[in-house]
Amino acid sequence: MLKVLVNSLAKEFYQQHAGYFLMGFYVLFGVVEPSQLVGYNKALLLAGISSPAGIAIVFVSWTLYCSKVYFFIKQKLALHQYNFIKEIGSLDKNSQFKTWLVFYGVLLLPIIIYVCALIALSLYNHLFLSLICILSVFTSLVMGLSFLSYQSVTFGFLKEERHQINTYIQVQRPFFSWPLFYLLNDQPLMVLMCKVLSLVFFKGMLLMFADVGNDTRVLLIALLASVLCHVVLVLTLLKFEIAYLNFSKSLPISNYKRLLGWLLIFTIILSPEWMFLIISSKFDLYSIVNGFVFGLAGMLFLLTLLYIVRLNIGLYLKWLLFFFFISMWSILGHYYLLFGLLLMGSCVPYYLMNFDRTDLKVEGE
Amino acid sequence: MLNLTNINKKYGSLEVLNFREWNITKGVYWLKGGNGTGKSTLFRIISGHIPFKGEVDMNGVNLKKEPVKFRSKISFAEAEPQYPLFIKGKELIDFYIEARKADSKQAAELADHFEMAPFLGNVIGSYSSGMLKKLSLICALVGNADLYILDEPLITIDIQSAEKLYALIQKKASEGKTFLISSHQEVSNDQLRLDKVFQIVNKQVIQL
Repeated sequence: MLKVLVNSLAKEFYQQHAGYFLMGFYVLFGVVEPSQLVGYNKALLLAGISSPAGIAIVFVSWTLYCSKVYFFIKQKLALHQYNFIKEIGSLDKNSQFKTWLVFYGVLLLPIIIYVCALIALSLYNHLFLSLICILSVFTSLVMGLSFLSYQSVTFGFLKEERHQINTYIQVQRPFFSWPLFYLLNDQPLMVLMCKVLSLVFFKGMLLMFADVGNDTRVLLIALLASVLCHVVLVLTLLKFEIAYLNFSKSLPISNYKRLLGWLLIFTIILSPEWMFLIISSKFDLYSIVNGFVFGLAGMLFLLTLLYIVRLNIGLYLKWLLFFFFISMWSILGHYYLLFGLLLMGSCVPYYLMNFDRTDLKVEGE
Repeated sequence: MLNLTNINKKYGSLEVLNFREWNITKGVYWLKGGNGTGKSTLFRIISGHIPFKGEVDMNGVNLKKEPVKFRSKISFAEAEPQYPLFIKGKELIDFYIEARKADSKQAAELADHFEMAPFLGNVIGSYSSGMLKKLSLICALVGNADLYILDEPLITIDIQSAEKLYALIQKKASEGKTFLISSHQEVSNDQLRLDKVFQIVNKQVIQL
């Protein structure tokens, strides 16, 4: 059973959250010169164990990551295609618990590596209180996740169904907005996590490059981090369109209108990031325009890429990595406006020409 | 009226349809065939749902060259319709009215005809499979298309609703509309006057 869990859920988790891992990788290994890499990482780790504030930041980050894992698993377990996982419920309590523990061990692998490094550093520096805190918080998190999954699989059937809240407000929802309402109705926690992480990454990037001053490139790197945080969200939106809006393919709706719908969705989804961008740019029009072009082009690229790779997530990740490096190169090299326009200029015709030529419903099955 | 030429459709390496020509004029047609013979695939090709090799023309309008114009002339009801569960029946119909530039009075009459009017204020997630099917038929029949493609319209609906559907098809056919229907259930000429019956055999559409 563990093998099935790892091959299905864990694999999908890592594939869908590639954007976050990419940003994490960049923050840990990409922002300093290779010669300063060891010192930089050691300083980061020491900051995480040597003061109460540092420890608090580390624990909050772990809790955020664990929440992301929890909501991902909860969402998947609610889907029909993952009903087979409920077979775990037929095992005895101890076996179930052990299975979930090892499974969450796999999902928390990025944290476990960090935990090992922190333990070694705490022992080396005789920071035993930090060591105890690290061990107890991490153990609690893994045990807590395992317990929640055990409860959900074994006693989930006792839970009352969630009723839709009727607001009695009669609003005509335009067709383009249906995917947004789907997110708000069916995936509110996923949206919340996505936005929280996106804004944390955005602010984190600004803080990381605070010494550079007011530079458009810093804002665009922050926006790139935010865009990459939306990988799962874009995939979810596209999967909703494939499953529930496929009927509209036989209606006389032009591809221009469909594309405009996507651009409107992305504009609305990135509203908090736009606000951050405008405030952080100190209302500099050049930076704001560049941010809008780059942000929208990036989101549209995430969507177009799913069409290009025909929902093949393995290929998608490789392309995302390429997108990340080429974006960074163009931002740092001052080619961001040209890059944004080129990206938009390639994604728009690709979508318009290939929407009718691609049957993602079959590809996704 | 409807001309299909050099049609080839594969799912991966599995070839489902492969024929040189198939034409129909105005009328009511029944497409027979068991599971997996390619009926739904053929309908999804004609309605512009899936990519394919070949050409589909209707009254001189080519699906690949003028997709929006072509789609304004056809209407398609899927065998197993899927709509967003949080949307109300009325919202979905209103969307079809807007997309097809149809009259809302016509939609209201169709809802009454299928006895769905009292449920249109409810979210689709609360519908039974029969109600969902009737909603999809109302949506497909809204507007003024030339060709109506109904994939398995009889599954999950009750006998009374099936009779109402037959009556509606007969009425629209007398107004010059064309119907292409697939069904596992036998459709006799007593229930519906059929002009021709087709079947897909060995990836080809043949007349019975």
